[in-house]
Amino acid sequence: MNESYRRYLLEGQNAGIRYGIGCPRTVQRGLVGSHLGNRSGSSLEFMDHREYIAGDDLRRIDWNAFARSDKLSIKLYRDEVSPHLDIIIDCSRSMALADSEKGRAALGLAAVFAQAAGNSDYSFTAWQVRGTCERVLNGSDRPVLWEGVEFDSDISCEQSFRRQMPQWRPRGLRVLLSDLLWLGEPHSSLCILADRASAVFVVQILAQQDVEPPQRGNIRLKDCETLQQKDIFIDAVAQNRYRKNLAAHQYNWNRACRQLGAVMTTVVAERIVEQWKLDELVRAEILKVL
Amino acid sequence: MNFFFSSPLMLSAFSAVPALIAIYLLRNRFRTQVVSSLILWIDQRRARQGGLQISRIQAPLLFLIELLIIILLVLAAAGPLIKAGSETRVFVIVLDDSFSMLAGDGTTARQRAVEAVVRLLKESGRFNARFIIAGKQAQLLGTSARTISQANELLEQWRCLSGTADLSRAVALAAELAGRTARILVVTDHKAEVDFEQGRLEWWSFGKPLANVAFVNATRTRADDKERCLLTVANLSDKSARTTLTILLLDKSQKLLEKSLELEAGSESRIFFEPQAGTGALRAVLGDDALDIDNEVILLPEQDRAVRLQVSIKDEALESAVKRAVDATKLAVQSSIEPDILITDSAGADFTSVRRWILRILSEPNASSYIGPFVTDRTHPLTEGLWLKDVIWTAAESSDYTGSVIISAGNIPLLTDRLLPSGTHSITMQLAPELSNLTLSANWPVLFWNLLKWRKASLPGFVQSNYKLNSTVTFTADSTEMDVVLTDPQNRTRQISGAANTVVIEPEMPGLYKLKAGDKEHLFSVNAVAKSESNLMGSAGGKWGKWQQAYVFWWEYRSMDWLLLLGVLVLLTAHRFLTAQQQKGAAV
Repeated sequence: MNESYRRYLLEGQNAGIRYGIGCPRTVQRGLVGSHLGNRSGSSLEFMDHREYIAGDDLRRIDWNAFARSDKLSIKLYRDEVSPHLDIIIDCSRSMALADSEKGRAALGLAAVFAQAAGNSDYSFTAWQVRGTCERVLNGSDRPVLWEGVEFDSDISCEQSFRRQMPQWRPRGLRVLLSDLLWLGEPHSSLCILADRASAVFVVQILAQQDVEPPQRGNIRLKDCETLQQKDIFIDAVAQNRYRKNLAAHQYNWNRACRQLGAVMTTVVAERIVEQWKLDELVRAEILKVL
Repeated sequence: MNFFFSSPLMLSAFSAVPALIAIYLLRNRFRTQVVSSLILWIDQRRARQGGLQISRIQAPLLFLIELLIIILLVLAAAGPLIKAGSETRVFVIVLDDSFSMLAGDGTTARQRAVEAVVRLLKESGRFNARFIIAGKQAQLLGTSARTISQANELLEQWRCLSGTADLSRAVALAAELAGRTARILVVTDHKAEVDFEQGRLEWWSFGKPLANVAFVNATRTRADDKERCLLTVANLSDKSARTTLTILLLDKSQKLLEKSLELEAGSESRIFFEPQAGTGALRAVLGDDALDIDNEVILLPEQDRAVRLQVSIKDEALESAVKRAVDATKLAVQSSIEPDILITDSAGADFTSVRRWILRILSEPNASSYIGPFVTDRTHPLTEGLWLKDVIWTAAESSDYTGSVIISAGNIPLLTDRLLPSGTHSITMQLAPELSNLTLSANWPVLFWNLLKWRKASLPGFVQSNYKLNSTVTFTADSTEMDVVLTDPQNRTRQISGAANTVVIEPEMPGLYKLKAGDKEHLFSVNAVAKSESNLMGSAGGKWGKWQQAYVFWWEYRSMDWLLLLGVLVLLTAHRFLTAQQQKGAAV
């Protein structure tokens, strides 16, 4: 593995020392279901009622409530959470965009989450999405020991997920570190990610040049993954249109995440690696300060 | 030329073409930037403002259209004019008639000029050409020519035998003839020396700088019963030259002298030759060179033209003064038989002779002396060179003299001249020698020199026998009955009529002329001796001036602006259509 990547991992590992996993809150340790999830699930701890929707498990209909109110309602129980964190790193080429700190931020944040998981007594596994979603060699050890991480994939996470279903741990926490810059419906990716997960965190890592479009002039844009080129004249109007498109793209992902109970936040790589202040992740309750 | 731009400076607007090319080149230059993904740029639509996707494949067509539009607009702005096929071009062509046009090594300047003029006329389509011969004087050559054959006929009359060419006067005449509608062409063998009228005059020169050895002077005089010839030969080149001078009798071709001449560059050699008494016409010849006409001169013996003078004066002192003055002039011989002039102090002189002039010197008894100022008619032949300061002249106040006054003291006539019906002059002078100092002054012989020279000029025959080309030859007949036939060196004869008993001839070519007046035949020669024309080193070839300022000849042309602008409109429409189609395609 690239030595600079190992240095990034060490930076993140050091930065993650003062953080823990923020959600779900810790109830017990050492057993499956020792952590309470924030969403309804299959545990025995009652959480709430809600109106029956076609397709719900008939066994969960509260017949007593039906007798009292003549309305079909479903009992919701707090989800059971396994104290395990799957750290999924998007290893597409765009994550190592030239003249940006995206790769550094992605590896550093992965190490932060690994360190935070350890701080919260979570086990963790690092995954890299390179054609398929595969375990990082030594991915459950300390980040500095991880091997084989390379940002060389030219297909999106969604395609990689579909090629081979990832072997993430059920009822565990999952965090996806990606720039999310691929075409496709966010739901399809998120559904795979959230399948049998107790919590999903999506951290969008953008470079400063992803946030701010190129300066005015004739620009030949070259896609670092597909190597496609496009000649565009850029002026203020074009810059505004790009920003709108980015905002719309982020809005779609945010909405999909909310619909599936996932938490999404966006960080700018250059700002993150400057001092490794992870306030955005803390505010999003993905991490907590110990 | 069949195509002109009325405003050729507007062609400088073609500099916009590189600007357009630069715009396209710069527009198609891109700064490459690697981005994470193109998905955020995929939905860029073609817009009127920024974010326009640029496709270089579409550029050439629009570029070509824009390029064509610029080119057509520039051409339209330059005002293209095309010659209208039906217009007749009017030319006034000035032909240098000096003999230097005959110089050449192979072809002469004249031949080259004729070819060029004919070619010009052929290329002009319909034309109307007038020719002006520029010799000593400018004169029109026939009527106008409308066909090539007519032009050739007129050009054959252009013989280039003049000793000089007054081109300035000929150009002025051409400008008068041309008016606003004609092109003026000057055909010569040297470069332009006149101011060009804007766009109206072209100056074509067909000369070549050539070495030439020529006679630049040739005279034959008689003095003290001896004849003497003076020939001046000049080497008019920048290299030394060798030639042979041969002098022969004209009628027998007998060689009288043959001499080899070595001449340094630009030098002249003078050859004196004294023919024996009674030698007839001489012919001097030089070796061949670039110009033949100045290699030969003909020298005729001078005619004996002394004025026969009769002096009939009773006053001895006056008679002595008159005879001294006459002898000093050596222009007259005293003869009482048919004298040409009678000098007398008798008032009742005889006027019966048709040839005799009379000078009467009258002394009035009541004459007074005058010291001036004297009023003098300086246009009269008798007053040439007179200087009457300090002269005391006597005259009577009551004298009644007829004729025009030549010299007077106030209103007192001192010298009068009366032209008689026979063509003779009666000159009357008031003078009392004992009271006047005129006979003792220098004015006295001057007065008689003028009188005898004037009389000699009006003697029958030619004033001299040998003339230079372009000289005016005057012949005086014995009687007033003029029946004069002139035979030129090419044996062409023509009858000439003159005023009174005088004929003025303008010789057109060098050679020996014969003039028959009554029963008598007179000869005179004309020689091509003109150093300025023989000097060919100043000759040059080239063209000066331009006719292509078409606005001067606007009626011969049709403007093409409208056609170009129509093309621009079509192209603009096509451009608009293409850009609209592209915007529509982008919107879809």
